[in-house]
Amino acid sequence: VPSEVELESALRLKTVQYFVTQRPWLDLYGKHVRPVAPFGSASRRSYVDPALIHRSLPDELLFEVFVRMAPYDLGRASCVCRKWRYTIRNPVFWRTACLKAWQLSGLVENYKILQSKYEGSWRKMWLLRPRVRTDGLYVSRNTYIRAGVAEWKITNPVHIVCYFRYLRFFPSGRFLYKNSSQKIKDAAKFMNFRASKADCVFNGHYTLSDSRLKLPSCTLACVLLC
Amino acid sequence: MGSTSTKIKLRTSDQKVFEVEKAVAVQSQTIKYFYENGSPDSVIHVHSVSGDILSKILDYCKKHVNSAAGKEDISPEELHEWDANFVKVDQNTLFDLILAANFLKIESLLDLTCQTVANMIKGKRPEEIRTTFNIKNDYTIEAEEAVRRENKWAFDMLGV
Repeated sequence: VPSEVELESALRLKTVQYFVTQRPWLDLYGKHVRPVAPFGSASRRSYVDPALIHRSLPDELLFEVFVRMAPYDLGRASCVCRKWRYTIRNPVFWRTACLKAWQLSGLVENYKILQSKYEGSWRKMWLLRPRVRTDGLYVSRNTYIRAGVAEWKITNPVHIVCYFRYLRFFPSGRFLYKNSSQKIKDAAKFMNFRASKADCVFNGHYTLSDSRLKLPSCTLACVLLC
Repeated sequence: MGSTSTKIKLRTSDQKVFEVEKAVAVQSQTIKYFYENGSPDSVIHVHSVSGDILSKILDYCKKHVNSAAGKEDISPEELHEWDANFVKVDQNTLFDLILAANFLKIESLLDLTCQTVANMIKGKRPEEIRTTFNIKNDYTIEAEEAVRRENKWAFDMLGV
């Protein structure tokens, strides 16, 4: 049976051993060690980004630029380079996009849908949940055939009539509607709230539930969104 | 106005000294902070802003202060037009303006300049964006295909 004195000295020895153990790697603590590229390889030369925007602006200011872009521009910007894709992955952008696109649902409802259907991912919600586009005009081109008046040698004359149905939606839940034979460039000028019934522009409120869009007029069938 | 207005002295990174009317200088939250927390006649060192950039920024602040105070008869549309011309500069100057606006904390200028860059990206294809900013495409062929597929929805309105 070892005596108390022996035990004590043994313990001290252990402690001492613990302290004298060489751990040279601890000298590197807190130092930023860069991987060293093989001698003569291209990456050994320090890399200078050719893009002035990357050399000038730190990431938080690139973020400030992206914050001011529409989601469709962000989607395309992701394809530019890896840095941009990584920055645009930030859920902040997609949260903003979703809350704007589905503002009719209300904040609380949107958070509920986010958790129940899209696993808490705003980006997933943006990609998968049906929505109306508010950054352009919806156009449907319609034609019909009308019988004409028979004259002289022409029997069974017909007219092919072509007209366009223009719809513009706003995130607020309002929409504009115009039926016209005008081409899109000319019609687009009138698709705003300054236009009046004299320009054949009508407005109303739409609702959106799941993949169905409801417009108040019975002449307009429900538009199924893709 | 005039004789009674307080002046603030600013020194830039290239050691140029500007004497600026207080109302104009405090458009910058940073300068305002330094002014209120330092002795009133000391020179404020805006160490990360060059003289050229600061003089542009002071023009901007002057214009906005004067129009807000009614000293200058300018309609909101004209001011908007003036802003649009103000940011018609090369990329180097534009990015320096962003950095300075951020450092000086001038919210409206940061918004104007960042929006300008955002507009340079707007409506463009990735290749066009790369050309605009001289960005190197660092995707592998497979990775680029994947990212294009992932963002296919963002391309459908282009070229209409």
